[in-house]
Amino acid sequence: MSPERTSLLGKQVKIVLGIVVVAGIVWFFFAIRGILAPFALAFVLAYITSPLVDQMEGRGLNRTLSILLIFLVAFGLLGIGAFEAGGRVTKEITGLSKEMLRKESVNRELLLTNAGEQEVAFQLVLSGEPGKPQQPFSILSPAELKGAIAPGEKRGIQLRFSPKDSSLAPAAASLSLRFLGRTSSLEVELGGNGRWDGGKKEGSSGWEGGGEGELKKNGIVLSANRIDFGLAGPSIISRISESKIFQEIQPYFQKVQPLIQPLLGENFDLGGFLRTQGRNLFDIRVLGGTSEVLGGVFSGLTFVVLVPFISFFFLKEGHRITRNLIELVPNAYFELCLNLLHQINGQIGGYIRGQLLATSVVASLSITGLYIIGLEYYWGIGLLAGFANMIPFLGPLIGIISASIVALATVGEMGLVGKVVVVFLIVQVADNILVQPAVLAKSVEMHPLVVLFVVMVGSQLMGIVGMLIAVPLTGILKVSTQTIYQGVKGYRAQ
Amino acid sequence: MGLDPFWSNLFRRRDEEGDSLLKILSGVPLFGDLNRWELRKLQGILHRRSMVPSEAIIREGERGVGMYIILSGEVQIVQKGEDGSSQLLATLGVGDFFGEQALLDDSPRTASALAVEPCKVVGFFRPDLLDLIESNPRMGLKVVMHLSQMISVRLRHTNRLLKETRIRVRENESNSSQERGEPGVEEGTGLGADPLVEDAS
Repeated sequence: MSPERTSLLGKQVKIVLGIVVVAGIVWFFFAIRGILAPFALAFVLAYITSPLVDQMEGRGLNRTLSILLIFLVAFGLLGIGAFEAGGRVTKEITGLSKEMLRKESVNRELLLTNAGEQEVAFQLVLSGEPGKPQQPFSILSPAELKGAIAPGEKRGIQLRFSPKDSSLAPAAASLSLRFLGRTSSLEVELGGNGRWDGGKKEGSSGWEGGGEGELKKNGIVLSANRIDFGLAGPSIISRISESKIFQEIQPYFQKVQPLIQPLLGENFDLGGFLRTQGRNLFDIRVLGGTSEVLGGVFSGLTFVVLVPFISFFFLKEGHRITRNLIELVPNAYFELCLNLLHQINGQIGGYIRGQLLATSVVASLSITGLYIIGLEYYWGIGLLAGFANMIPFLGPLIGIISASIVALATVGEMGLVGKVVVVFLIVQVADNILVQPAVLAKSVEMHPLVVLFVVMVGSQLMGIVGMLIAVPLTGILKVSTQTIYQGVKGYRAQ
Repeated sequence: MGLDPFWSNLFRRRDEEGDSLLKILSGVPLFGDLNRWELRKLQGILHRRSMVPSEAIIREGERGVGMYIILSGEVQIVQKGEDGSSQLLATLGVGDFFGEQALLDDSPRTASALAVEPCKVVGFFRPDLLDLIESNPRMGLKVVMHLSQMISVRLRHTNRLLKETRIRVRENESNSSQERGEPGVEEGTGLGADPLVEDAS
């Protein structure tokens, strides 16, 4: 093989190896993404406070002491308040997301097996709690509640829990499998909306049947002696569509409906449309995922202990870690990488710090304003409005819509919705006049159409988190492409 | 067989060269006004690189990011001539430096620096200088002032060389005209008036 061919082959092998290594690293981080949240938050905190630490160190103060001083002020004095606020916010956000994501019905299957040698005739009877006429439990299948099961046969019994009461009150019922021709029966306890608190039912004498979770009698085996359906009930969207406001709007809509009927179709139902689209808007991938992320980050122990601990080391060793990583780059690409990191830092650093300032201002104003008008969940909605403000164009809309939905669902009066709109108008005016001009000077330079496009792509790929990181991520890609292109062009000129 | 230039830094031993590096740094005019504490701080932001023989430390035409100071070994500064051949401009040794103009902007390098033998250098780069100015303005200003003075000295030296060259060119053209019986050379001919002729470093 000629020397040129050997060299080309060697280069190709190196490229393939490089791609495999990079793919491996990406896969690894994807696989452990669940534990990355505290590290990501710690990194952001360290990134924001790093210039302050650098300046204090520049004035002669030891770096470790500088970091400890900042921690004392930021976490010590504000820690208690933040912890309390963090706990309250977590409770509100979790409560809010549960409200939005609550399923209207939950299905479960109970397996019935005839382990005996004879056919068994039975009847299924569902009985609710005494004094509670509205039965949230129902049997979906079999359609015939009386039947017989042959030896060795297995059959599934489909059960549904769909309460109409929006108060999430605990519900209980009992499913009896009565043996026809005998006096005995098997009783399965059904519960929903937190009927059992992790233990036995109040007043119960203990579990029946053989084996954990099973009931056995006369050769018949039921796969569970207790079924917990979890949380279910009318969602906020359903409650809005059935609320007073909606009933008042309906006649007006009916007057307009004939004009737009050709577009909507014969059987268009506004209430049903609102319920379906509302459910899509609060799809679990968008809001539920965020709640899980927040749950992972804002749980008390993580926030108070782990994040400061990791932040401390990022601040103390961050420069060294970066330098050590850069030193792994081969000489031929060293200057290019260094320049690239500097460009990215310049683009993103100013953007992040500016956006955080804007977020703090908008969140503070929103929480205050919503508290004044008496909106429930003002902490959660205020914070949501603050963070959502980071999303170009759609951010303020998200804040107004969320607050309006909560206003409609909790109080149900147009007056409160009007007050919500006024509050957010004031907040947006303050943001656009006072904060944005300071932030925009250091923002990523992109055409508004490009911004809109990347925000929508981010939403499609990663929901709300995707919308938040779309603009800075695109800024990084843009500056990386420009820098690498210039570097490679200069290198090729040789 | 020499080390592969693509991978050589991956396995470089980290030698303890603290004091000798301090000595070398204190000899660089750019850091002339820095005290011991500042030199130690500077040490922390420099990047150590190892080069194999014939490896290019900087390449002519590439956008510059910073300067290099030689810790050990020899480096040749070469420039491509109009006919494509390489012209040797200078040979630098321990304590010498090159590429400091890249601390000011990212203009293309005007010459290449090639390692003659295995050598170690430290790099001081523009992003780090900018960060230094942000975090420690006093120290950053000292470095920038000396950098400006060095550039000014080179500019004066270049202007003097240009003036001498103009005089020589005018004399040559005048002699040629006289031999051919033509009138004298007009002012301003021969070389352009731009004093900013790029230097090798």
